Amino acid sequence: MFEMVQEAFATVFTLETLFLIIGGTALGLVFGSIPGLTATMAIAICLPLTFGMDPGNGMALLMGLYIGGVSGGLIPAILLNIPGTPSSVSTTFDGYPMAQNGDAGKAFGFAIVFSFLGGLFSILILMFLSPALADIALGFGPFEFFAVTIFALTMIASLSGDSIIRGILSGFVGLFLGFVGSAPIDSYPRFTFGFDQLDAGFAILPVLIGLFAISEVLKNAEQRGSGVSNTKKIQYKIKGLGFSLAEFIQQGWNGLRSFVIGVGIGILPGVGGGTANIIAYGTAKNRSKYPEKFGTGINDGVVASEGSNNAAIGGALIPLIALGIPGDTVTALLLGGLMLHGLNPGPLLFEQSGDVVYIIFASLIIANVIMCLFLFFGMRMFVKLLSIPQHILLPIIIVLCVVGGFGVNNRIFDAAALVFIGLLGYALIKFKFPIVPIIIGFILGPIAETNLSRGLMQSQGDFSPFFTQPIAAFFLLLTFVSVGIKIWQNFKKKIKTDDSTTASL
Amino acid sequence: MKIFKPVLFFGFFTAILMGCSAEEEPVEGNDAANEGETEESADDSADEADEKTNGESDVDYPMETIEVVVPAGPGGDTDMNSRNISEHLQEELGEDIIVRNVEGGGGTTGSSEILNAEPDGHQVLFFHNGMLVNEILGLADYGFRDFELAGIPVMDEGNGFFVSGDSQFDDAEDFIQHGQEYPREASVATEVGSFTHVQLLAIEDETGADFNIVDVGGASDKIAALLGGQIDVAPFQYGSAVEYIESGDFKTLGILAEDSVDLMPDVPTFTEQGVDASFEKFFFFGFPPETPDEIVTTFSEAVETVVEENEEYQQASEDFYVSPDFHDPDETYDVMSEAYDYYEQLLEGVEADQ
Amino acid sequence: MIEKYGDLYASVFFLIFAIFMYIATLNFQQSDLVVLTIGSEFVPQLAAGGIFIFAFLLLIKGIKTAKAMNKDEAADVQTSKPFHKTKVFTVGATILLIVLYVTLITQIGFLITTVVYLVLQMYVLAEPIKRNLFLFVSIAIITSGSVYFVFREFFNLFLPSGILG
Repeated sequence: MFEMVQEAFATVFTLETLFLIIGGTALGLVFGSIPGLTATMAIAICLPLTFGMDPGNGMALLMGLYIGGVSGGLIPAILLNIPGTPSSVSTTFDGYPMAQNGDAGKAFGFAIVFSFLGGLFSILILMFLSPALADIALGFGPFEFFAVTIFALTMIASLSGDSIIRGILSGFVGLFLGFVGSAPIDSYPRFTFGFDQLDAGFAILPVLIGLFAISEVLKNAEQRGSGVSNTKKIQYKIKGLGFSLAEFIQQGWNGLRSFVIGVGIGILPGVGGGTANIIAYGTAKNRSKYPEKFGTGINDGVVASEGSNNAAIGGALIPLIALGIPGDTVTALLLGGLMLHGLNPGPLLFEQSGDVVYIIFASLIIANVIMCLFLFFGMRMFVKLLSIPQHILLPIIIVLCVVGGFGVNNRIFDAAALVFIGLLGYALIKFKFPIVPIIIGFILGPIAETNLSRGLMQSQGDFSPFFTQPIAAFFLLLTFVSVGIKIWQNFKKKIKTDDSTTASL
Repeated sequence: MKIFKPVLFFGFFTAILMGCSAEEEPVEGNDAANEGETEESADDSADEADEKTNGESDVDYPMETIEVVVPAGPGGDTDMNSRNISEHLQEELGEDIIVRNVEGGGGTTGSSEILNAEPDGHQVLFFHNGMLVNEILGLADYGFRDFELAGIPVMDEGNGFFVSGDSQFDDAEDFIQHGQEYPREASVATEVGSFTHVQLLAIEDETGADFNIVDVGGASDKIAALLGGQIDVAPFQYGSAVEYIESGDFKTLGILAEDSVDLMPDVPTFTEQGVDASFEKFFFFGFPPETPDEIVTTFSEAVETVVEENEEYQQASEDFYVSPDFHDPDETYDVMSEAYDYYEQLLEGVEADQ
Repeated sequence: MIEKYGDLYASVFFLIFAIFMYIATLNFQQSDLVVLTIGSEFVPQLAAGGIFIFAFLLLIKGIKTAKAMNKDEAADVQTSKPFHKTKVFTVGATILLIVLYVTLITQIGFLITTVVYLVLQMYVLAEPIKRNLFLFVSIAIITSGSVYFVFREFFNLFLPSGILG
């Protein structure tokens, strides 16, 4: 194996291949950092370009795009409160407050370093443990998927802000948005009210970008005339990595946990990187000694989010490389890329095309390093973006969002959906509803429903496997326990506040 | 190393080259070649487009990038087959061809987009049997008859059923017998309302066996489910299973073909094992309604040339275990209506049962 | 207003929404092909029920807040703070512009619509002293043109060309 790795690096360290990785990473970062454009889009657009290359070079370019695309999302998340891709939703929670407090440098430092480490961690796992982990992933049938998603849905409670009732209602709004379109099993349309264009439902991108970007622009519009923020000059000091060794060591455990969550969620087909960062953030908050500080601009939040989303890359590649099974759109595109190069993804990929597999690994490692360098040296430049007045920057972002929405399926419908959902989100924000649960409900709801139906088909109507299959039972138990704790905590808090109010009366 | 086209300059030359290639290989209904000056013909083409509705047959086609809409996700067999033919078709037609995946609604989203597209030949649908099923089930309120069919370039005869390497079933007979003796015990993967579901219904209908039909999802989900032991039997194209058969993870029960298929001579068929059910998965091109015949003919002839003469294309297809087998628009219509009637009868049989 | 009656309005909206949602599920088309233990209406109905319950909880909470605020004079002072005309105008105009932008983009085409949208949107969002029409128009033209061109030529993404095509 060591020889293979060495050989792969030798192949990758040619001018042409390196150029492709660097170019791919750079383009990926651009796509990731522009709200509305995603890693998926970058790969879809560049896939045809790889047809004329040899397989190793083609894969090198695609890996660069993948790493860059997932990482680029942190830039607008920290600077503008708009996640560039679904993978950096929770980077906004603490990254943006940090930037507002003048700590953009530190936010970037943590985000970049932990993106890098998370990526590296998952690549190493991919290289050394993929067959074993892929086997575990195969053990996940509908019962297990249902249980895991139900458990993940409880994150809504942790990410609801000050009112759990409003948070849950937001989650239901997300569920509803997820219902629109074809039903999971029989594909008959639901809630489409006769509009054919709604048959495919809402895509993740319009929902996400609509909720974050449109509402951000409208919030900005509110501030005009009130003399706030628009003119507010925030000093961003950037020194070195922006954080001390002690601060870094403090994040060690949190970082490692987030990497593991990222890889674990990444492996599961269909759940993917968009969810990993939210779950890692929620877990970090739940396990923290100071959960109330989350959302105010705390290092832990940025580390959890950015560590997990890059770790999900290696995770998502595990079933692809080990078994030929794509877990999400990006890996499905990569699968197509491999096949068009005459490679046969599947259990024999390692044996038959080991050279290309190791080139994939080598490219991932190099792309990861290059991503880190680009972001580190680009940091000062990104911050300059903010010296562009908001009234010029935000309209341009809206245009790019509309282009991105259009690019989802080359139809204006998705751009219109983006605007519609954005307005809905703004209305909900006005009534103090949190928007993150909408995204959680939207992504996880359909997975839970589909697997519930499938599980019941498999068991011919019997609900018991959901509780008797060990993995499923474990996660459902975990769900009950965590909901129970949450209720108990709230109850305790309530008694406390009731006590204090009676005392003050 | 060509990554991005140096746009302006290159674009200008493409225009000229396009004119040249039209001159070298004059196609029926395309009199661009007669106009002599190549640069002029490229300029004139825009005007001609506006005139084409006047019913004159002088259509200059194609004039710009052609978009092939694939109503399925990237990486699947529909996507692969469309990309394979498109790559060679663009040499033949002298214009870029891009493949665009429009997922959703079991293929209805992409199909209805082409149904409502501009009938100028620059957008074309590439789809398969799924369109017939969607129409029969009422998922789409239109059908293949509404499109201007431009031919079938490729057929997939490897519609097989597979089991895991250590399964108790060794061949189709074991499988069927089990379904007859122990109804609803063996679980078979499908995607409800898809082509594989129709195949399963045909087998049940033919043999009286009864299986526990379970929705699992698309091709790769079925592979995962079979590998993970979630289900007993799964249908997919032989081409996507071959790697797993080689590695010993899967065994073939048989493919639904009438005679053994040249590409996979050693693979048993259901027919030779006494189950009279045969299916061919076809992939067709369909233009929006009212696309002028000249355009459809030009396109379909280009497809024919690629399928029958381009060895590179043929080789690539065979590597995917699909047979390059051209059917002209009329033959395509016949293939599709025959299949339509068969599926309708099968699906109505089930609906009546329940 | 939203401070005081927000939860009340929202909960009433969600209660009505839940009822409509439930009614809509009754018309879902059912498949004859498979027997499903839970049909396609099951989970949406569950969700509608959930929305109803939590909206009801919010209603109770909302009534409490409103009552508490009625008692509290200070809150009344807060809600009666001057109605911000600029704010309402800016938000309203921004919403209108974005909606018009995506509605007209297919007919008129990306290039023109984008230029017009960008100029108007920048004008609306900018503080009056910072309104620089010349700057806005130049930025709008450059953005619109380069986005159109880059996506069309490099990425094969054909943005609507509208009346120019």
